[in-house]
Amino acid sequence: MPASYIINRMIKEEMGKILNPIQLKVFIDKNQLNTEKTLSILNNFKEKSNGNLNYETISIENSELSQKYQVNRSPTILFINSEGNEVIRYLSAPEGSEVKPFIEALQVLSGKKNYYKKSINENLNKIKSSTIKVMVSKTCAYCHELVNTISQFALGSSGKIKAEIIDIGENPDIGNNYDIETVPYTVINNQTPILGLISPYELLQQLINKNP
Amino acid sequence: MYNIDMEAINLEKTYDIIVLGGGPTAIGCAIYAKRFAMDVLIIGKIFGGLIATTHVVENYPAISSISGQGLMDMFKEHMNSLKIPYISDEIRAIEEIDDHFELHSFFQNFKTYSICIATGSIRRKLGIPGEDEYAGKGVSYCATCDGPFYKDRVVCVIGGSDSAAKEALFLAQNTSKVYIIYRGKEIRAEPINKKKVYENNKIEIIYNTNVVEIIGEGKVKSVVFDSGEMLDVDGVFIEIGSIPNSDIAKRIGVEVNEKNEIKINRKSETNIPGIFAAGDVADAPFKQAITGVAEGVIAAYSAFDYVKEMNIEY
Repeated sequence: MPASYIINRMIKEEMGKILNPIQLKVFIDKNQLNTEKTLSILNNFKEKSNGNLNYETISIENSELSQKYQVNRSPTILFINSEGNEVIRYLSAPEGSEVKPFIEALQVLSGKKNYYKKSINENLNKIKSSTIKVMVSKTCAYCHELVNTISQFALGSSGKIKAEIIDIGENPDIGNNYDIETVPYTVINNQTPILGLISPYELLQQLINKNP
Repeated sequence: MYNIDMEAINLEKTYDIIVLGGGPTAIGCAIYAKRFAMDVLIIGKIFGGLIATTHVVENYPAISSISGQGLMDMFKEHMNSLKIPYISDEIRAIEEIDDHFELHSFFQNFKTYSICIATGSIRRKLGIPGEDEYAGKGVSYCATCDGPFYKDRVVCVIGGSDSAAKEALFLAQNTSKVYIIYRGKEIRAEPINKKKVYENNKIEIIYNTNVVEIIGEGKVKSVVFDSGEMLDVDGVFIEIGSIPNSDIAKRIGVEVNEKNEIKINRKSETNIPGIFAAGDVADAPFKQAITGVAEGVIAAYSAFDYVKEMNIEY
């Protein structure tokens, strides 16, 4: 049985667990080569979601919305929570090991319970508004764990924590800008980077300690 | 995918078995426990464990060749088909209370009648100057994670094991040159991988040599040998074995050997009734995914017997 068959079957099963209709915002530049690939990947998820996943495509040239969400590159995929706050931003469509935390985030956005929410809420007053950027690659064996944790923290924080997932293979300029030679590479509020995998507990401590 | 399905996780109930770990050993144990009709929960820090970092696995029976991640996707699919819940978390303390154990993470507490510790191992460090300073700036412990950053550059792999040979073969796909630096006379890779290394003209082996320092300027520039010679490299991949992840077991009094491996018998039992161990964290001399799975399966069977003896209804 080919691995791609198994992965597709798992995607179908997991997309079926999306409980309620959700909508992503997808900023695209129709002239860019990767736009077709992005929409094809998202369509694959959409087709397997029993109609619960939808996405709104927005031209990056739409200055009003691009400005509102501070979007300046294509594609940008935004998860917006029920209060209208951006919680997760992907700077490319998820592929390889990035698929798992993407779907897990969709499930929680649709109403599935969040394992970390109680602890995040208990500590929310110790955390100031934070943006966590995590740089990953498709072949990284550990990145999906950290992306999942960061995404779930963001989803559980009612918009106080924002997650930004950056595949540096798709966004090499960002990788070069940070001079990255290892993944996962995490930056909280543009402070000192955290190299490698850290546990959910360690991430929470970082959020508290870096935001006194 | 991760199956942190809170509806499927009952924090009030006492599980028959909680398996600690996220690799093939843990999942093998959980699959058998589930088939024995036990209430089972897996709590792992990293789904997939160390094998997920292996670019190719060619010694797992019935699968001629697959990536480590691909193999773990198959384990995951099997686990999902049996609706075995998995939580991505780290247990920080275990308490023995009356007839059961309580497990505490920062986020939740869990109760169980038995535990299988399959927490695997973590990469061993060299402990030389420059190693920590240049971690993530040229020093890496994961070729599949960081190898792509070294396209057309020169790297070295420190170590002589089968894993070191496989890392070198993976790195040779994209780099311009790979040095294997090994303290011994001949690398200890499986003959099939040794042959591939010898036949790869991008790989050069430097024998009888220890690296004593990693130096650079912001990033790795070179390594220093015990002979005093230096070798210019852009990346240093350290693959010198691993250390068993047995701290949680030791804290509750589980016996370990001089290598910090948990002592188990042929039933995967530890010295504490109700606590079992399997895989890389245990004291078997030959550690492979397939042997870890086998020990995990035995642990499930022993735990089944143990819980049954407690007259607990399934």
